[in-house]
Amino acid sequence: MEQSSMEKKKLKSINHLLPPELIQAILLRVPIKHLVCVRCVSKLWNTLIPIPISQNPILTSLSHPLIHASSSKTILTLTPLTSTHCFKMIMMALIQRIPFMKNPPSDFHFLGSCRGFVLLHSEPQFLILWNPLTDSSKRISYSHMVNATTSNRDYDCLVKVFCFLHDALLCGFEYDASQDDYVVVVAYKGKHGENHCDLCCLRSNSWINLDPALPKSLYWDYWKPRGCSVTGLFIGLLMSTVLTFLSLIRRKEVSPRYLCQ
Amino acid sequence: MSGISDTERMITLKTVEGTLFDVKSSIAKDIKTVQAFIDDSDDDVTSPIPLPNVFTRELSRILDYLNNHHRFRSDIEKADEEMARYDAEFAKSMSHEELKALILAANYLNVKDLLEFLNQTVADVIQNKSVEFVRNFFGIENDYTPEEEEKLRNENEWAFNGVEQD
Repeated sequence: MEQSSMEKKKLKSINHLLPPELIQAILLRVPIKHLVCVRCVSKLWNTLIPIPISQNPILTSLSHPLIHASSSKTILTLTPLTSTHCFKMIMMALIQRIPFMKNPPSDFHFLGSCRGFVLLHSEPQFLILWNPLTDSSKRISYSHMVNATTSNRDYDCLVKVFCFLHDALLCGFEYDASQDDYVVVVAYKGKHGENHCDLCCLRSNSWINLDPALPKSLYWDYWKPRGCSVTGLFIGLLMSTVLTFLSLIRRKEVSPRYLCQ
Repeated sequence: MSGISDTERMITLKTVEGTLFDVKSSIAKDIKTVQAFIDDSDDDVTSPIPLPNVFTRELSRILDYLNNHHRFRSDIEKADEEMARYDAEFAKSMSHEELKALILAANYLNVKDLLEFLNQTVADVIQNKSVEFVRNFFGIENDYTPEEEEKLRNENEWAFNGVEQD
């Protein structure tokens, strides 16, 4: 320990040394990829950043492509709704390794990731936003979509049941920097075959209908969310439309239709 | 200070240096530490409230921020745009040391919105910066041995891609 140089530094900035709890509050806002780097700052910082990422090869392998891609701020990382076998294995292992839930969901699908957060789908009818770093998760219900797509008149007839993974045409997950909030956008078919697009603001956990914001013909029927780059580009475009629409709502130029809270 | 109606009530704050600031009670509500003091004294605050941890420079900045945000909120039309522009200017106007001093003051005074904004500002400043930059920024002494640090860096090599050079 170089006592003298440490003391000198302390004197120089005695008022401006932030306590660990404040540093931690700041670090919660730093993307995971960079958090891995700043663990090298000091031993204290290493303990401030809770998950031993380096000792978790599964998380490292998972984080690598995802977080790398999501470090570009413009477009969300798009991963196929129907995950590949390999990816599912990784997710399974990950979920069992980290006590994401005491009983890991038996049927979950990986929908996307953004700035280190992971969006999962779990039966029955839940989206789950998961922060692997703090191991916190949040459930998002989409029951209104189920109601919008299920015919409630003819119980004798074949009742169509909304299946997210099958019926959601597109699903996007993005960070809205202007509001410091995360948004999930889902496009799906209504009971008469019409297209819908809904957006969920995660801070308020409320869904907003975006139909008026969308271009008339999107030919969604041809877009299958299989994670190809063209679809990714398309979702990027959709996202910019959506975020523009959101700013219109905030400027009170368009009034939102809240679907469920 | 008699004859002032409840809505216009002013509260006087006193910094370490002894500077006095008159603050509207509606603004003081956002300064939770001050509000707690007022609540504890049964709303009977006549003498200046001493803030033994807050310097004049920081308090004047915080009040500036709160006053402006109150003003923006009263004008919904262009609130978002102006607020964003003001916030960006506000963040840019400070040196790193001033930023940290303001975080400490906002934390002590418990001004939640401002603290969150400042935390985000710092997170943006250090994002993709080198470990050395982050150490310098926070004034942290490296307590790893060169071997330990080397090992940690090697284990996380992938994460260092894209880190800016100083």
